[in-house]
Amino acid sequence: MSDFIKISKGFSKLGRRYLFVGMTAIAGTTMIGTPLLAADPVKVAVLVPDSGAAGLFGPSTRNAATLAAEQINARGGIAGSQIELVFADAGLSPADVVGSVVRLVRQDKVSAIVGMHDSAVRVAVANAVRQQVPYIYTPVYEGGECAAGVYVLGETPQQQLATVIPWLSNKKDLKKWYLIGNDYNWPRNTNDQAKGYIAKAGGTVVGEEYLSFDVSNFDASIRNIQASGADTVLITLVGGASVGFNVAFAQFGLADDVVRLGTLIEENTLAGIGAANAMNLYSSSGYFASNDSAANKRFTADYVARFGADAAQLNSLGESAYEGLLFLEAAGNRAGSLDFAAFDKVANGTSFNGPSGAVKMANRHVNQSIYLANGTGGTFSVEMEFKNVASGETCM
Amino acid sequence: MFEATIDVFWLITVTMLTAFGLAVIFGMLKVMNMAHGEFITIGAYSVVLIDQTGLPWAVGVAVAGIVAALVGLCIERGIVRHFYDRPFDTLLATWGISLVLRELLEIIFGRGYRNVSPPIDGMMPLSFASDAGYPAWRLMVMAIMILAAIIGWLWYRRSRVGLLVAATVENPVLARSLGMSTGKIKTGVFMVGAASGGIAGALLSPGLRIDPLIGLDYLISSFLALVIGGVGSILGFVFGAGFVGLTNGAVAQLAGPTNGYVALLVLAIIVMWRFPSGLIGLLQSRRSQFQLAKINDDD
Repeated sequence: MSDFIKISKGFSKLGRRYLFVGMTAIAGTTMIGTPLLAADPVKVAVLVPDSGAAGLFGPSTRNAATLAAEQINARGGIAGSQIELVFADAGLSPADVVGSVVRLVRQDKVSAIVGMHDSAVRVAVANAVRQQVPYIYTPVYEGGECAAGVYVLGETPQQQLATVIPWLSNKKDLKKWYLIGNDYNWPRNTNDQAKGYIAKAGGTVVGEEYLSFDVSNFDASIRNIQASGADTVLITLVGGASVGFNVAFAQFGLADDVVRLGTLIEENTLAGIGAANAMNLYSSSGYFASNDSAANKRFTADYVARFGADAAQLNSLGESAYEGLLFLEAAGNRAGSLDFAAFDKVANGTSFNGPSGAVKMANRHVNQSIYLANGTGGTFSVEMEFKNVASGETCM
Repeated sequence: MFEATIDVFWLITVTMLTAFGLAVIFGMLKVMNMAHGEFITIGAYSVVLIDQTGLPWAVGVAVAGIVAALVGLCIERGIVRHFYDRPFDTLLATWGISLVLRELLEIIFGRGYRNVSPPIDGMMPLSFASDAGYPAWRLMVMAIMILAAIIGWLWYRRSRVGLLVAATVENPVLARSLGMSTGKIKTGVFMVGAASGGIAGALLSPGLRIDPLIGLDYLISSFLALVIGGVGSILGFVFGAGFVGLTNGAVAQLAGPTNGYVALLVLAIIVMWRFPSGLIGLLQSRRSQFQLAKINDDD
C-alpha cells in the first residue's frame, strides 16, 4: 500500500485523478451494465456458462443479456429503476455456482437472477435462493420444474413435440421412429413424451438407444438404425455427440431417405454438422436466428449493430437470456417492483413480445411459439410456426 | 459380417492414428506428453484453414503435419528437453502447455464448432450382395494408414536414421560417446510424434466435431491404448491399438457403444493389474519362457 502512495505522490494532481479513474475502470470490468444515472441501479444476476460443457454458449448468452439490459434501460428500466447486470459462471459444479449465487444475493444484493445453464445447477440454485428473489430459468429443458420462486421460460419436451410430431408425420409420411439420445434425464423425458405423440400420429417406435457422453463413434448405432427400417430418427443427443452422429449418419448415405428431427439442434451444432450432412435434418425450437419475422429481424440487426458481424452466433440458448430479461421487465413493471411477493403475484398472466413472438406465463411456465426449421443446405429455414403452444406443465 | 469387420477395422485405424504420436514420444523419449491431444486438434484446424482457401485436402494434411511438427519443435526445445530425466515434471509441464494451446486455439478460432468436408464424397459398395456401402473417404484413410505403416516400418528398420534413433533410445550415453547428436535425434523424434498427431487430426477431420477442446478425448483414448498394449515397442503399440479397436467394436456391435467403452475400461484395469507391462509384455514373457523350455528340452 505504501508503494502505491509513493508512486501516486510522484504524479501531478491531474495524473492521480487519471490513475484513480483507470483503477476504478479496471475494478469495474467485472460488472457490465449501463452507467449510473439517477438513483442506485437495481442489480440483476445473470448466470452464464463461461466454462464447462455448455461453454460454447457463454459468449452469445452474455451478449444477449447485455443487449437486453441496455434496451430495457433505454426504455426506463424496470419499475422506474435502471438495471445493472452482474455475471457469474454457471458452468462450474452446482456447489460452486451456489456459492456464487449466495454471494450475489447476500453481498451484492441482487434483486433477481436470470439463469441460462443446465438442470443440475438449476436445482441447486433454486434450493439456495428459496424465494428470496425471483429466479428466471431460460433455456430448453426436460420439464417438471415446479419449485416455488422459479419462473421457467425454456421450452419443454411437450411444447417442442406436441404440434411438431403430428405435423411432420403428416407432411413426410413418417411411420417408423428410432429414438436416440444421450443417457440422462432430458433425453429420457423427451422420449417418454414423444412416444405418446408418435402413437397418436399413427407411428410406431422401432428402436430406442441411449449413449453415454464418452461415446464418440456412432457406427454401431447407425447400423442399428439401418437394421430397424426406421424412416425417422428423433435425436436427443447433445453437443459433440450430436455433431458426430449426424455427420456419420449422412456419410453413411442415410440422410436422403431417413428424416431426422432434433430438439436441441441449434445454429452452432448445425455449423459443426456441415451443410453437406444436413439433408432432411429438422429442428424444433422456440427460436431460430434466421427466422424472418419482423421482431427477429429487428433483434438480429440490433445484435449485429451492438456486437459486430463477427460476434458469437445467435442461437436459441443465448437468445433465451434476452427473453428472460424481457420477462423480468414485463412482470417487474406490472408489479411495480422486483420485491419477490409482488413479483410472484403478477407472474402468471404476464406477457411480452420478444424476438420469437408472443410469450405468456401460465403455471410459472410459458405459452410460446414453437418453430420447426429445416437445416438442409446448412442454414435453418423455418417451415412452420406453431403459435401459443402450451408448456404442458401444471405447476400450481 | 463384412460390415462388422470393417467397422472394427475403422475403430482400430482411428486408435492407431491418434495414439501413435503418444506411443512414439512416451515409448522412445519416456516423456508423458499431456499435450498430445492438442496436436490432433491443431491438425484438424489446419484442414479447416486450408479448406477455407480452397486448396485441396492433401495440402491441408501436409500443413497439419508441418504446423504440428513446428509446435512440437518449440515445445521440445523450449521446455521438454530440460526434463528428460524427470518424468513427473514433464507430465506437469506438458499439461500446462496443453492448457495454453487450448486457450490459444480458442482465441484464434473461437469456441464454435467447425466442419470439414471429406476429400471424396459418397460411398463405396462393399460386396455384390447388398446395397450397403461404406463412406469412401474412410476407406481412403484406412489405405493411407496401412501404406504409411508399411513404409514407416521399412524405413525404420532399413535406414541409417532409423538405426541412429534405435541406438539413442536403447543406450543414450553410449550413443553420445560414439558421436551421435542425441539431442537432435530426440528433438526429431518429438517432432515426428507431434507431426503424426497433426496428420491424424487432419485425416480424421471430416468425421469429427472440431472445437478447441477435442484433444482431451484423444489423450484419454491414447493412454488406454498404450496401457493395454504396452509401452516401448512398436509391435506392442500395434497390438494395443488393435486390441482396443477390436474390443470396443465387438462389444459395441453386440451390446451398444456405451458398453463398448466400459469393456475397454475393464480391459485396462485387468491389464494394469495382472500384466503391468501390457499385453505385449505378456506375449514376450511367454515367448521367452517357451524358448527357455525348448533349450532345456534340447539338452
